[in-house]
Amino acid sequence: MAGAGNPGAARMNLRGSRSWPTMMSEGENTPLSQYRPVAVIDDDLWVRAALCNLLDSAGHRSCSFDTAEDFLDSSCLAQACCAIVDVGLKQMSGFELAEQLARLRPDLPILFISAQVTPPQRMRASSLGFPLLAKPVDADTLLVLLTATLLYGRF
Amino acid sequence: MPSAPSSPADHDALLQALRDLSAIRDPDRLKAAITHTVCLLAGARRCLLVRQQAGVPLIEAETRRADDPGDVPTSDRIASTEELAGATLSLSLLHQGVQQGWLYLYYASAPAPELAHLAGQLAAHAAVSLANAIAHAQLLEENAQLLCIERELRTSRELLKQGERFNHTGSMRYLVREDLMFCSDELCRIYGLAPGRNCITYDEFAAIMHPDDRQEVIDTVNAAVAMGGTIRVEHRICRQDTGEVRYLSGIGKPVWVDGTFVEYMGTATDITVRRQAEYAIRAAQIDMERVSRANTVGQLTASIAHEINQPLMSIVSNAGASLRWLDRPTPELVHARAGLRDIITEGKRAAGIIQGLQNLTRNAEPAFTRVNLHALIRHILMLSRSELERREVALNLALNPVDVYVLGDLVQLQQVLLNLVVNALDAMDAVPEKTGTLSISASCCNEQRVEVRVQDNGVGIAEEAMSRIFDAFYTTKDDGMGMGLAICRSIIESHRGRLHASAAPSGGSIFSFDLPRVP
Repeated sequence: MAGAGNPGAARMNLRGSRSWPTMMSEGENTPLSQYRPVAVIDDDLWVRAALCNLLDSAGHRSCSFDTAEDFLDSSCLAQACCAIVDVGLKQMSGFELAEQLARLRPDLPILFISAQVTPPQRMRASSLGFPLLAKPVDADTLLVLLTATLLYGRF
Repeated sequence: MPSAPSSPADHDALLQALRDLSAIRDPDRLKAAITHTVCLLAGARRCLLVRQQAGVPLIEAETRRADDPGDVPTSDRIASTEELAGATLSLSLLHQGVQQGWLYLYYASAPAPELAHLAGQLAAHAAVSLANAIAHAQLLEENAQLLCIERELRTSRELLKQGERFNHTGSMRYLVREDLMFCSDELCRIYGLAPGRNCITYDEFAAIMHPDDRQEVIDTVNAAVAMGGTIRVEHRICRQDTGEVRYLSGIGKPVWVDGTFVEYMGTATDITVRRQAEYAIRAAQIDMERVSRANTVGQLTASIAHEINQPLMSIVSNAGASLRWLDRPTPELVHARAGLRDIITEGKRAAGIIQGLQNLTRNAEPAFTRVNLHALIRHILMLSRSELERREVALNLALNPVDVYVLGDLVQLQQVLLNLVVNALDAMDAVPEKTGTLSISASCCNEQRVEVRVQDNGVGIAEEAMSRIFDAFYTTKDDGMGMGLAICRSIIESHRGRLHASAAPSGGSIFSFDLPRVP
């Protein structure tokens, strides 16, 4: 049955993702994000809620913001261990936020997401040194990438 | 000098002369023969036949004997009074109380009583013959005129028939009291009546009509006939011979005589070809609108992808999350359920976007419903939102605090607005050094109407282009079809509104249309 097979496959992937940090370093098995939140900045309420749900389900802490400005004003700016940033934000764009963060939190790794990836966006993201993922982002891919990012910082 | 006609030979000569006169049918020849015979038999030196024509005595025939000293006779001249007074004998040509003319006889000396008597007899006969000849001539002339009129009538009837045939127009007379309709040949052909059946009753006429149109036509005709008004109808018929459906346009006018009318005269034109052409044009127009809509939607593909990817992102993430909640050593059912519920919501959101797009590219007849204008504007802005973001265009939206409703076809109105928005974005793309601002407003001018304005600060419309921008196939874009604004205008006009273009005071252009409001 397809319904019975899918959770199994997901479990396999999940196991794989957990084995990543284990393989790399036994001592850092406890994710950083268990006590420092992953910040989600996306202007779509439902996307924001879904990403937080996904992060929570994988054992991360999360906080979310409608705009870049709200995030910059929040206490989360200092605490966040990683930021998932939508490129097409209202007002200040995701890339502009990244430029600000390069000054304010140079240690903060970023994962860009975009509902409409264009070649210029790709170039901009890679010049800033962070990956750009196209929506809809595969849940497992996102989590694996997040874990790896938390371990190694910038790619 | 001829002798008195006392001898049998003279008597024969008189009879022969009278017979000859009676045989002559041509009035001019007869007149000459009369004067000639009178001179010959009554022994006159000179004889004039005078008739009163238009109030003057006209000499219509004259005979002179060779020994008469006068001039060579010329006829058709006016007789002088002295000339007539100088006659020896004047004889009246009287027939059945009608004066046919006079004979004036001239003798060198007074004629013998026998000769005068003979002249009198000749005159009496001449009057009869002349009257007959003139009547005969008139008859001939009338006959010739009749023939001529008949020929003209036949020609004009033939022309009418041909004209009716060329124009596919038949004519008819309807006698109201007798309830009879007389149809021309062409009308018989149009109706498909059997040959020779050019006279039908009103019920028979009603039977030819298409069942769906029958009652309406009968009502219209009855209403017009009741007050003696003009009948104007457009209806279909099913031809009596083949059953073929044809479109007719008919007009009938009462013939008023002395303040009353007893008949209608009218024409019926077969407009089937025109109608089919109209339908073909309409179908082509609908196709064109669809293509143009698809084109406009096509320009927004990127935005649409963005709109659909958002709910997909949410669905995929929630699904991943729900699996993880369930896979925990103690499954977190509450969280898993919440995630699944969000998946349902977001699935519906994606479906809604796709349905909206399908509506925009569907190929259907327009359907008028009560449309929320504000919701419509927001829907179009939702579709173009990321396009605005991509092009870094600021949006200035000014709507009424209360929702405004209009009666119209939702899809067509969406298409108009989408077209105007895309045009505005393109116009602003052409001025990259300026920050684009798109302003959309919906304001109620009054209780009856609402005006929607789409303003940009783009390149604007060149003055020479202003008068042509609504023309079909007129475009200033490299890849434009030139149909967008033409279709927009025809859509707005079919909604009883007007679409205007003007230059914005601060540069750029303003497109505005107004529509009638409904509660």
